[in-house]
Parts: sequence; structure tokens; C-alpha cells
Amino acid sequence: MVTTPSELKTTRNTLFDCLYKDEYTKVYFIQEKNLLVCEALQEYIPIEDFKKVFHFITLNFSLFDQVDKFLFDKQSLRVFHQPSMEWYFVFWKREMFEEYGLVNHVKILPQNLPWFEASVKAGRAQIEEKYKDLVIDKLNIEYVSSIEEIV
Amino acid sequence: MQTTSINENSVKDLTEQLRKLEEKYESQKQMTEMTIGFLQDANEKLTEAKDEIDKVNKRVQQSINYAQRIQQKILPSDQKVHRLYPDSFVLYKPKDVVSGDFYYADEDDRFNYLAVIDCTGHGVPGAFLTLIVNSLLESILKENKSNRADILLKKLDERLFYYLNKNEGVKKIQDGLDITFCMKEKSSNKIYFSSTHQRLYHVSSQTIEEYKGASYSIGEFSKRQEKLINHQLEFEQGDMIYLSTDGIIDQFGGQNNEKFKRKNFKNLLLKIADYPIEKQQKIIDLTFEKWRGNKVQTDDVLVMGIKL
Repeated sequence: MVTTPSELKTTRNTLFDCLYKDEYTKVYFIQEKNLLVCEALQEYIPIEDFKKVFHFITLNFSLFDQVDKFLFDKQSLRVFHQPSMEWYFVFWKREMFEEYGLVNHVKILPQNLPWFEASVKAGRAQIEEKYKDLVIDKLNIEYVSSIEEIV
Repeated sequence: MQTTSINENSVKDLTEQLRKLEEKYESQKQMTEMTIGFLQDANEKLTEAKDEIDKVNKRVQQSINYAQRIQQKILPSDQKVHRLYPDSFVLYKPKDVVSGDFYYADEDDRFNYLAVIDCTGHGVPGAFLTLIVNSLLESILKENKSNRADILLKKLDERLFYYLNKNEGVKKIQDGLDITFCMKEKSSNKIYFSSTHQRLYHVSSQTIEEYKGASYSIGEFSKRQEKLINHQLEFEQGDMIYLSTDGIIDQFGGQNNEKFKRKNFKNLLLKIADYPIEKQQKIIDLTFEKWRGNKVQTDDVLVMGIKL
């Protein structure tokens, strides 16, 4: 289910739930907190589906009410695809920063899975070593353990 | 014809599902390899860092151990303490290798001197101060013509203040010390003493008298110095006096993890004052250790007991 841009326009300034949903992800906006959430629904998201949802966010970002924070809820993920993460980290975050000034990113990792947490660190270290001109220093990245914590 | 089409779609779906499963499996494999590599690298770095920390720690420890040897040099030898005070004990338990507490014993023609001193802090900073204070005290006593312990402490107060603040343009140092300083007159049964933030206990005929030190710290060098008092104590042969820093009364422990407190210390002294001196030391030490239990030692501990 994908909310079209025209539908988005009609729902502006109201508290709406789901903006996008497919087999792998769901996007919704918590208006009172100006928080845009992308939630992983599966253990794994193939790269084409990964890019699809983030392209949706990019294309429709200007239609949302002012987004203060973007939250990526990875609690359901158990496997990530490093090239997807690289694209997300290097391309998507930069694009969102430069085009829309999105600086506040929040993440929820799977709870009580130190192995996954180590993998995230490993992936991030690899990206930081490979790319020297990341926008990462200009972003605020916060980790929380649940949506409730941020809301 | 229709069946064939369904089968073709099913095969297509299955092929797509299989492709995604393969991709997931491949991603899992890459993720695992990447994480193992990362953790191995981190482990190597941690091992290197630990080795470096161990080396630095060893150097610091050697340095502190050497500092301990220097600090021990300023303490009067056991022989000297027993020559001046034949029936006495010193319970000295630094919190760290070196201590901010120290004791002093010396004599001249008229007096046997004795002091228990607690310099600000503990460990290395406290130990630095003990060296300065010991040197200042020695030089003051060389010039002494008085029987006023308070006057000597006032001199120490002034000299320590100027010693620590002699460099212009440098922020004033607030460090100092608390002390009980005694002068036992050789020709009489009198002791002159002065104290800051400590107590001197005199046990005679199964009663204990507590002399409270001034609420002033040496090194402050202010008008409040006037609070220093010269006490005079007359003793009978066999009386006990006890001097102590605050380490023992401030030790946390017991069932409710609270301070040992002055009241318990005073009661303990009264209880043991008639025991042989070695036994007294042992009881105080055991009481302290029992109270502390498995808690960390709060501060340096120093207790001196003298049978007069």
C-alpha cells in the first residue's frame, strides 16, 4: 500500500498513520512529534525494496509537515545487506541533508542482540573507512530502545 | 493451457523467492565475516592498548613504590619511637601505597615531641604534602624556646601557607593539614598540646577525657588561627593518651554501612586502656578490619597510643 502524493496533500495537518507499506517496511508520521518513522517488518530487506521505500520518503518528504526527526526502526531486522547500508549511509543521508536539511536521525536496533549491534558497528566502520567525505559529522544520530522512548 | 500458465507463474515466484533467500544468505555470510573481522581487529587493538596500559601502570607503580620508600624515611624509626615512648604503639594503615597521614617523634633538651598529622587528601598528593610539612615542622622545632604548642602550630600554619603560595600569579592552594601536636616535658609529668580537628584522649583511672581540637586547619593562615589553644595535661604514671587521625572514625562498614564514629572509638579506647600495649594495638586493628568487612578503606588510618 502506497499513499500517493495527492493523498498525502489531502492528509496534511492531520494525524495520519501509514503512508507507505509493503512486505518489508512501513512508513508513518507522528505529527505531534514531527517524527517520520520507517519501520522494518522483516528479518531482511532486499536492496531493491530497501531503495524503494527510501526513494518514496525522498520524493514525498517536502509534502510532510515539518519533519524534525527521522527514525529508522530496525528491531525486526536480523540480517542487513552491507551495500544497502552503504547506499543509505553515503547517498540517502547526504541527499536528505543537502536537499531537506534533515539532521536528526534516530535508530532502534534489535534489543538484546549484541551480535547485531557489533555488526552495525562493523558496517559503519567499514563505510567510514571507505568514504572520507561523509556528512555524518553534521548529523545528530541518537539510539533509543523503543518508539515510546522518543515519543 | 491454463495449468501451464499457473505452473509458469509458480516457478517464477519460487525462483524469485529463491533468489531473495540466496541474497539473504549471502548478506548474512558477508555480515558475519565483516563482524568477525571487525571484532578481531578491535580485539587486537584492545590487547595492544591493554599491554600499553599495563606498561604505564607498572612504571607508575614502581614510581609510587619508590615514593613510599622516601616517605618511610621521614617517619621516625620504630627504635626512635620506642626510645622516646617505650610503651607505645602506632597503628598505621595507609589507604594507598603512600599516605597523607604521618606521625612525628623527636626530642630536645626539654621535651619529647609527638605529632599525628593528616594532610589534605590521600595517596600521592597527600604524600607530597607530608614531605613539606615534616621539613617545616623540623625547622620550627629547632628554633623552639617555648612550651606553647599552639604557638608552634601557628608558626607551622604561617610557614606552610607561604610555602605553598610563594609563587606570584599562581592560584592559591587551599591544601593543609589537621594535627595533634604534643610536647611532653622531660622534667615533669606535664604534656602541652594543641590540636586542629582531632581529639586527644587521656585515660586515667578508668575514666576517659576527650580534648577537642580547634575547628581550624593548618595552612589556612587566617585570623581564625586564634582558635588554636594550648592545652596542659598532667598525668599519672600508667595513664594512656591516644592520638588519631579521622581515618578510623570515618570508616564505612558494619551492618548498615555507616561510619565507625567517634563514640565507638572512644568506648573502645576506654575498654582496652588497661591491656598491654601490643594487645591494644591488635584489638584496635581487628575492630577496624571487622567493621570495614569487605568495604574499601575510606581514608588513611593512623592511631597512636602511649602509656605514660
